[in-house]
Amino acid sequence: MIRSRLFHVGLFLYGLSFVFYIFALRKESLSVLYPFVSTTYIWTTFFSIKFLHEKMNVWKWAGLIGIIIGVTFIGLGS
Amino acid sequence: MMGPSSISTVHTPVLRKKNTAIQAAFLMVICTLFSAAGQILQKYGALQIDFQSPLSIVNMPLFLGLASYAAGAGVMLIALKKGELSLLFPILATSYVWVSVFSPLLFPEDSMNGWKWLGVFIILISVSILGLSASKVESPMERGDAL
Repeated sequence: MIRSRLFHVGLFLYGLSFVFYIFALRKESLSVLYPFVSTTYIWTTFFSIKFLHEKMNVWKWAGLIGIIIGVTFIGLGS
Repeated sequence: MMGPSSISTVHTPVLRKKNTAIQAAFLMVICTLFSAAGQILQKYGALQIDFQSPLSIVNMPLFLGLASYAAGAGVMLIALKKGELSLLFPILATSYVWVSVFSPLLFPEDSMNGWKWLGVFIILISVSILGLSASKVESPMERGDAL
């Protein structure tokens, strides 16, 4: 796995998102940034379906939507 | 990651599927403890960065934050080998719960309020729903054979 090219690309993208995140943190408080960071879950779900051919079910959608609502509330409270 | 890990797919007996999925979900919650610690350390680190002196970007909290993130990523990789990304990844939101609760205790500009508590509560319920779906999961290994 360590030698996998895709794994390296994944690490690089993580690093890239870290840099953006640090700059955002300097401008805003942690809690305000949260709802925006939570959009990751939406992308991940769509990519999981498209590229990993995973199947969704009612529970997973409910959990996902709930999490986004919850994170948005945390943002609202900020 | 897709490449080599997919080669090592094991044919898991039906009875063990549930356990593996629950284990994987539990590992993701452990991962959120590391990433929440990492996020808080990053905030400390970011506060220490001064653009007048570029070297300030090399500071201890930022380094420890990265290390904590790395530890969390390690735990997450183990979890991802055991289950589906679409089920496990949203569990990472548990870190919002830790950070929301601990951030006000550590940073004076942060505070808890009704909205935040409501958000924390909804996230906990949602993550529990995902955990429950892991226990009645029909799929993780079902498509493992096809990988």
